[in-house]
This record gives sequence, structure tokens and C-alpha cells, in this order.
Amino acid sequence: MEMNATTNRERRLAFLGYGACFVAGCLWGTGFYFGRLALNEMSVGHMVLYRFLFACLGMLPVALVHRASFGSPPASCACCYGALFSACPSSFCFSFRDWFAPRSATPR
Amino acid sequence: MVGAMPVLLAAAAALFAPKGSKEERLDLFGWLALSASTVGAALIVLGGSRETAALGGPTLTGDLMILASLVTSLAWILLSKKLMQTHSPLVVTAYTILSGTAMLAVWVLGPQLLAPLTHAVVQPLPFAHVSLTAWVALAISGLFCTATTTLLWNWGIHHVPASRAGVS
Repeated sequence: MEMNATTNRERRLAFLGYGACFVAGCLWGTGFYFGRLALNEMSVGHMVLYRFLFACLGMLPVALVHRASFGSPPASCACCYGALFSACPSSFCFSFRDWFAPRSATPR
Repeated sequence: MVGAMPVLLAAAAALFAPKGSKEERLDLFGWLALSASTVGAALIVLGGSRETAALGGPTLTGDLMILASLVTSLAWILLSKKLMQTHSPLVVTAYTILSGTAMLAVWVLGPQLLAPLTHAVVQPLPFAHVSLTAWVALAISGLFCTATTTLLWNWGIHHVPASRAGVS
């Protein structure tokens, strides 16, 4: 009985996990449209910077509330390492794609 | 190239999975499904109109930047998954975005701050002349297309294997 409940819970979590990834993909795709609107008035670098600053506004309260859990230096380093090789360069490159790569291959 | 991301992610997740872990291994059906998604993306790209390509033709720089973005995305996903073994997806998302923004600020604003020393011509930070439409677009893309997306993605890959999450 208990095993069934655990299996059901795992299945539900897996379903929600895939759903979360799917919604994330859809939301990420809309970013091209909004990014294009902003690109009419600024450079790629400034657009990505402003975009991340707005993202920070949403995440700042979380970081302040949970700052104690990130007290350990290895975890902080790992996070910075992850950021350096992840979000910013990726966004930069994806945005730059509009300028360097074939236009027909760019999502609208 | 970007359409190949799910296959690359599955391969990287299987390659860097802990020894003995079968969670990230895909079966034959999984690999076939991933390959089909990549072929589908390639068909859409190759079948697209080439009329506008003349405005900005393909360049080696552009292709290399996309390749670099794929590699960094892979590293980000796998490192985040590892980090979420000890921290919640919410915390990992918050710190990734904050530290990423700090690095981006140095990258974008650095040349501007050093301009008096280097005498380089740099574009000033646009602010006063930015329209309301652009601000709203930036706010939506920052809060929803970056922060919410990253949080949902991190939460998702925390609960499912990264190799399968790439398809979503």
C-alpha cells in the first residue's frame, strides 16, 4: 500500500517535472519576440543586461531569504562557476545569432 | 544546430552521469525519439525561406557562437543538476541569475567605464530615450522568459533525468 503511494507520488512528480520543462521551453521561446522589441532601441549587450537585471528583481528576495543556505564557499563557487559558463554567455550567443547566423534559422 | 541540443544533452548526461547510475541512460526508443526531434528541427530550418538571408548571411563567427552557446548550456544544465543535490532549485536559480548578471554587467559596462582610459568609442547605456514598449518587453522577458523559465527548468530537471528533459 505504502509502496503504491510512493510510486504514485514519483509518477506525479515526474509528470510535473516534464510539464515544468515544457512550460519553460514555451516561455523561453517567447523571449525572442520580446527581445526583438527591445532590440529596436538598444544593442544586444544592453538588452541582455537589462533583461537579466529585471530577472534579478524577481530573484533578489529569494536570494536574501535563503542567503544562509549558500554560506558554504564550495556551493557559492559552484554557483558562480555555473553562472559563468551558463546563463549569460548562452543568452548572449543566442541573441547574437540574430546578427551573425542565417536569418531564416532564427525563431520569430 | 540548436535543434541538436536534446541529443547533445542526452549524450552529455549519459557521459557525465555518476558511475553505476542508470537514470540518465536512454534506451533505443529514447534515442530514436531524440533523433526524430532533431531531424524535425533541421527540416524546419532547411525548409525555411532564404529571402532574408541576404540581409545577414551565415558567418563562421555566428556558427561558432551558437556552438559555444550549446556547450555552455550543456555545462549549465549538468552543473545545476549536480548543485541541486544539495540545494533547492529556487536557491540555485536565484544565485545563478544573480551571479550571471554580475558577470554580464562587467562584460557590458566594463568597456564603458574604461573608455576614458582606453579612448575607445563605446555606445552609452540607453535609458532616457527607451520607450515604454521596450521597458515592458524587457520586464516581461526578464521576469517571465528568464527568471520564471530558469526556475521551471531547474525544478523540472531536479525531478526528471536531464537526458529526457531536453525533449520538453
